[in-house]
Amino acid sequence: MTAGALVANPAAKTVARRSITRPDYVEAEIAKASLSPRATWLDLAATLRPETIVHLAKHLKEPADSKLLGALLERMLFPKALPVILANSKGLSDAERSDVVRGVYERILRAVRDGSPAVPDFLEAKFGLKVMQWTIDLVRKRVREKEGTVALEEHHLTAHEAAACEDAERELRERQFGERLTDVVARELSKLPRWVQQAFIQHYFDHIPIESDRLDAVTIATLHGKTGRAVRAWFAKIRATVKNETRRDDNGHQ
Amino acid sequence: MATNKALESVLEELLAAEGDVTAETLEAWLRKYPQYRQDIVEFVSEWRLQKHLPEEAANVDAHAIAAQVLAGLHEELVRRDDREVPFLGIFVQAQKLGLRLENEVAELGVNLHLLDMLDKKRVRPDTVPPAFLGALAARVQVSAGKLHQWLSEGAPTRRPATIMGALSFRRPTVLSFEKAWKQSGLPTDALKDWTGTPAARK
Repeated sequence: MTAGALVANPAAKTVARRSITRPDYVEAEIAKASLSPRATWLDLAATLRPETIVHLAKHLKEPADSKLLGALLERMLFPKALPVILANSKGLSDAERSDVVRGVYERILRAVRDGSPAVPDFLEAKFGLKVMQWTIDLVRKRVREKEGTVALEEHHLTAHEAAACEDAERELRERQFGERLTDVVARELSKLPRWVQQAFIQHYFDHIPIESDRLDAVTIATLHGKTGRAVRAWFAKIRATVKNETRRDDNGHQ
Repeated sequence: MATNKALESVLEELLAAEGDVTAETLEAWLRKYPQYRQDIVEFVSEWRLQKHLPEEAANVDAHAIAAQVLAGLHEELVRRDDREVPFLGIFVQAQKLGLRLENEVAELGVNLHLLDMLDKKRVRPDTVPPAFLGALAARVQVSAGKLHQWLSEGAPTRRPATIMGALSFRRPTVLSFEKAWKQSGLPTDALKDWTGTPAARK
């Protein structure tokens, strides 16, 4: 056994009974890395998955390890986390996104520094998802702090107007949405309160109804604590704006 | 029925479940964890929004942020090292950490008998394979060096209280790791997982 090499019993994996287990490919990488001395970990890390790097870094607990631990975090884990953080903190200012990046980096550091390699956690099992979770968690808390309740004056829709809404929604969905929002819709949405943006996405992409006859049903209205009428009014406003903007863009191109 | 689980774990479960978040799935989550209703709604709403927003350039100085976050790392590890509590034994440490020893030995591929011999310092530390020492140290969350040092300190001997006790007193036998392994009834072949070579017959 090489001095400073990692310690893993290949037989151990087969009897793992923890609620979170590392994926097989991570176990295979750990078994491979266990043959290498610590001095080579930084070079080795370039070829490893972030989950494996998290596991290696969790062994570094002593002051003499701080340089290697810092390098693994700064050169390997943080750069792998950054694209995920940026992809999940859209719609915030650069200063706010910098704060979110800092917050997630701190959580990665804490998880690695305080965690035990003997106890696999979600970061060791699904690095990308855990980073995404932390990012969204920080973003939602920031949004909650920042946004007051914005109320749009409710207006009554007649049955005829409501039917027209449904048609317009269908048309809008067909014209504007692929997997992601078009720039026009995203631009217009960004001017609105966050809950309206979220509600709009949940309605159009996740097909969550605005209202339901069932009292305990999950609807846009119950999720966001608004009346169905207020939600429809916001959506009508979005549709109208997008229609105008699209027309203006189309005219601009001609 | 409400399940008593930390929010962090609930959100992990939610993300790991994959698939689309429909009204039905969301309803099931909210019914399962009513105590986190607000958090789940906020989280899912933001998650879905982020998923569908178009890419957006950011002006973030990630290098500077990383440097700030890691600035006090060495000092923190030194502080932790200084205030580290003394290691009082494998079983005591496992109890302190709330570890289930049955699970730990199973994951190490050994048994409680061997662990008991180690805990009673009936195994010569110089014969313990470094790989095993390191794996055990990681499980009880001490450094391999500290565990080795503790094993080297030898078992405390209790002076017999009576003359008869003194006459029959024998120091506990200290075995090599290999002998302790065999005495524990563990399969000889499995020893090579730690030593790299099959156990020699003596």
